[in-house]
Amino acid sequence: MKMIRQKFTRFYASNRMFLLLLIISTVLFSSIFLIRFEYYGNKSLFSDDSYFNLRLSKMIIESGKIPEYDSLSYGGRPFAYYTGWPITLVVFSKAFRVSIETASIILPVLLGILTLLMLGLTIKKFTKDNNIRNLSLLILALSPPFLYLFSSSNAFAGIVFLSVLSFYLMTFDKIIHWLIAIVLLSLISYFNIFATVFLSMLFLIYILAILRRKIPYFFMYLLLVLIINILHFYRLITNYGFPDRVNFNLIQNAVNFNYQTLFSDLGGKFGLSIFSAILLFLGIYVLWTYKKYKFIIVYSTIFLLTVISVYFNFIIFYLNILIAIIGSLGLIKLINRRWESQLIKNLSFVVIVMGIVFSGINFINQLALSEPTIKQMEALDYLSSKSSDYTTIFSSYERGYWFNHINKKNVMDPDFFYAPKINERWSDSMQLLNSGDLKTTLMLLNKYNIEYIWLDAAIRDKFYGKDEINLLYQLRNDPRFRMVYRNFDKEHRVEVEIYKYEKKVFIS
Amino acid sequence: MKNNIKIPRQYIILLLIFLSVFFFRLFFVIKTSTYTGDFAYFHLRHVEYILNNPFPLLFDELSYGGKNIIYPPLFHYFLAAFSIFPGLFFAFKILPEILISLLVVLVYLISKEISKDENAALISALISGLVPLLIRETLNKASTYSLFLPLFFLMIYSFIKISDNKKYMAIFVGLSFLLPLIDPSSAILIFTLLLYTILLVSESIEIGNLRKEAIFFSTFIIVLINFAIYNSLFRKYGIDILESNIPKPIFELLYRDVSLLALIYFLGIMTLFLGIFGLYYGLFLERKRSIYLIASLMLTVLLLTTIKFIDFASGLIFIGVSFSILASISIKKFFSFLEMTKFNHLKKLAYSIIVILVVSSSIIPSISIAKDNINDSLAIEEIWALLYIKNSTPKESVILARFDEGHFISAIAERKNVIDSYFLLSDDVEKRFVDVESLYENPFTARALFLIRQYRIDYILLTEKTKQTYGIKELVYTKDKNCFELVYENDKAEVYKVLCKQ
Repeated sequence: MKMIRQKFTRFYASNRMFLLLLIISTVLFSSIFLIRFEYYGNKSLFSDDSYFNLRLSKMIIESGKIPEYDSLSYGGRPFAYYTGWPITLVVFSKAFRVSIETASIILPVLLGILTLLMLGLTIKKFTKDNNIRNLSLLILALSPPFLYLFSSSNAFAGIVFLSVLSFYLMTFDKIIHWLIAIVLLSLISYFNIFATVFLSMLFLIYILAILRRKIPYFFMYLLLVLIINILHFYRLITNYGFPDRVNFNLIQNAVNFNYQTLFSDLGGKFGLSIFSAILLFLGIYVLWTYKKYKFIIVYSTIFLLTVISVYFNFIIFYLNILIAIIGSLGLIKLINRRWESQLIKNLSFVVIVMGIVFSGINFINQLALSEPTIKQMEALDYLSSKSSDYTTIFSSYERGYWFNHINKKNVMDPDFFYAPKINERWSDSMQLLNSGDLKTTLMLLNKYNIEYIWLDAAIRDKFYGKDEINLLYQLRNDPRFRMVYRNFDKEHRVEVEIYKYEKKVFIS
Repeated sequence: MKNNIKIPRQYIILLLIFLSVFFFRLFFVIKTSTYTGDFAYFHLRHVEYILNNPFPLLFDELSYGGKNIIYPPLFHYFLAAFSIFPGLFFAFKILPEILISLLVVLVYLISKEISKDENAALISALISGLVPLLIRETLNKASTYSLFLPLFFLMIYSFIKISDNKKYMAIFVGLSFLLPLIDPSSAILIFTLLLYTILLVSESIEIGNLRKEAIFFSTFIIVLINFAIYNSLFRKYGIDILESNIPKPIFELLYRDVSLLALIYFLGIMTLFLGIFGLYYGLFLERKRSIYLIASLMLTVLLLTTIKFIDFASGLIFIGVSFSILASISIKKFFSFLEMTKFNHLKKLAYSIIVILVVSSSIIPSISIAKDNINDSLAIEEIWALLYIKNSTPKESVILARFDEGHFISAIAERKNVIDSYFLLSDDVEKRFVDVESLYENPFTARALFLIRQYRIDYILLTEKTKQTYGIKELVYTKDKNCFELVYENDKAEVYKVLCKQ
């Protein structure tokens, strides 16, 4: 007993900052919900993915198995979704006897803390310097991508956790650890195919560059992944044939140009903070002055990941981890060097820490205010209560998950995989939103049996700017469209407007 | 024993230069009780708000009928402090002129440091006090630049002297905090210091650890404070924030490219000539760190003006002051050359000639610009019209005025305007600008009423300046007596009431 107590005391003494960081990160994650729910009074979950996964989980619970058909998305489509995350939510909700809504909040937060723990343990394996570990974790816990990842219910919370856990296990030289690691890593196949491909490539590079003798494990992993994916796609192809090839490009919208999505400060949904970028440059500068070409692989990896993450946004989550570690390395080396001015040294450190904390807190507030807003929820409540189930509602595809959430059909949503006639729907949706011809508008509304049209400030801004043109003009001026709902923001500007398409209005 | 304190001759001359510049400015400023340009009234409104509340005005219910305002608060607090004592007149009329006149002292100090020649530094100080564009942009305007520019150049001076004494380090650190709280142009300093580092590294000149540390610190703190203030703007506009949401026609006017002709006209031929020679000599022959710093500032400003990060006038002010500083090198070199000739005995005469040339080439445009500034200040008749609106219209009224009269409406008349020159965070600024122009230019009642209803306009202010701007003699549609009533009129302003709003 005494020995255990001594061990604990020793562990506590050397890891109390680490433990404190885990507590801080718990507070940070919780504060997002506290601020959103209590301070802003918005009791809804944020991000589209949360609503998508919530609905899939509920469908799985209701049917007691993985359903074959989804009658709401795209007006009805095969249930060809990746079910890894919804099943995890269901299992968690059953195991802890909480609702799916509660699980959607608690599980990502829990995984976030566990991910930090795993990363802390992994970094400790590579360096004896506790400061590097602690600072890396602090930067990470306060970084926008990390905060987003583990506060919204999305598959990447599971993916990042599984990959970090697997990587930690791989730092051991024991067979059992490696076997568990490759099983866990292969489970990612149930979450997302792009993440599977990306992580397989990373795994291969890691093995080839550092641990060539472990190559059999990679082949075992590859085999597992192939089996899982072949089974998955075999079921899909035999039941529904091949999915349509998506003929349109979709990169996350930025304010001005696409690389801005990399930064949350410049309008990216979960991009890096500008301060992280500055820290990264600092880290690279320090590494470069320390040993010029020794870390060339690190620089090239960062460069490659940065470029790819514009097209595959989820890579930002991994890039962010790398940046946190390199940034802290740079910062610590910088602080430890001999400074001419002690005043500047101390102030610089304070300013950098303030910068990291400021960008984190600012992003927490941003998340707490993110969509769906209170006004959008009020409009959804209106639609939910005033229209019958399975009614088709039209808006830009980004709003599709919300309509499904209130049991209404959409014309499109952000899940394009195995979506029926995806290219035709995309083209029709764009044509409808930009339609200047009433005949075309009516034809398309009839084609998809649309009853309600939803336009909110963000959609109006995206398609019409400040003008009353195209569909917006028709909706506001043609008697076939009746405005059934409208609400206003703080500055008394229209936030959400909903129109009902009155097919039977006679125009003299 | 008698304690004789002897004040050095150069300080007396510097004091004289400072007083000349200050009294030159004061002479014009006290000619009018109003301010030039609408932004002085923006500051006035914010200062008055701070005097009544401890916090800055973050939501202006009168601007554009109500919108958020993001503006660095330090200048407003600074003016508010002096508005309490000695008073509003001192804070808005005298203090900005004192502050901007202090720039000559800083130019003297920097020039002395660069040229190591006191006479040349004094001439540089004189040149800087008479940069015509500086007068145009700061005289009688209560501009943030009156505080920002002296502090900016004090920071440059502290940076040059940073390794000499700890106090310069403290000044540099302190100003790194303050500058971004005054004006977003503090970003110029970051780019200047980064370019300075690149230039020194490429020329294999040692920067020194202390300077590296100072650059590192100031970059971080200025970025942090600017991000803290403008965070929501960055998210809303992204990189377009650089255009400050300014409507296109005004943007094209404000953000012109710097041309040689503009430099001659706005900076003065002597400033330009001496500055260019000083820049050439300093950069390529002397290769001093301090000269690289001024050169970096000029290059940064040129670059930022080209990419429209800063407007044409602000850019030229920085270039003008930098040329004044660099002129000291030319003057010093000229006299060094003179010493080697038979004409050395004419040194005093040469000094006099240079001073006369500098003064004569700058003073005429400066006087002309100063006069224009005073003539452009808000006329007393316009004030009466605005006071009429304040006293005789309902509190919720919306008043139509030109975009550069918008702050008069909110600050003096205390009514809602349709548009003003604080364009940021206004979603439909482009449309409003065109619509307001249309309301003054278009003669058709139907179109006017359509827009009047759209913006819920209750009164229209028509000033002489508006008539000149749009080339109109009257608002044609106001002849419709069923819809419009002339409720106030004087020599320079008319106020119409809109009768048929429904």
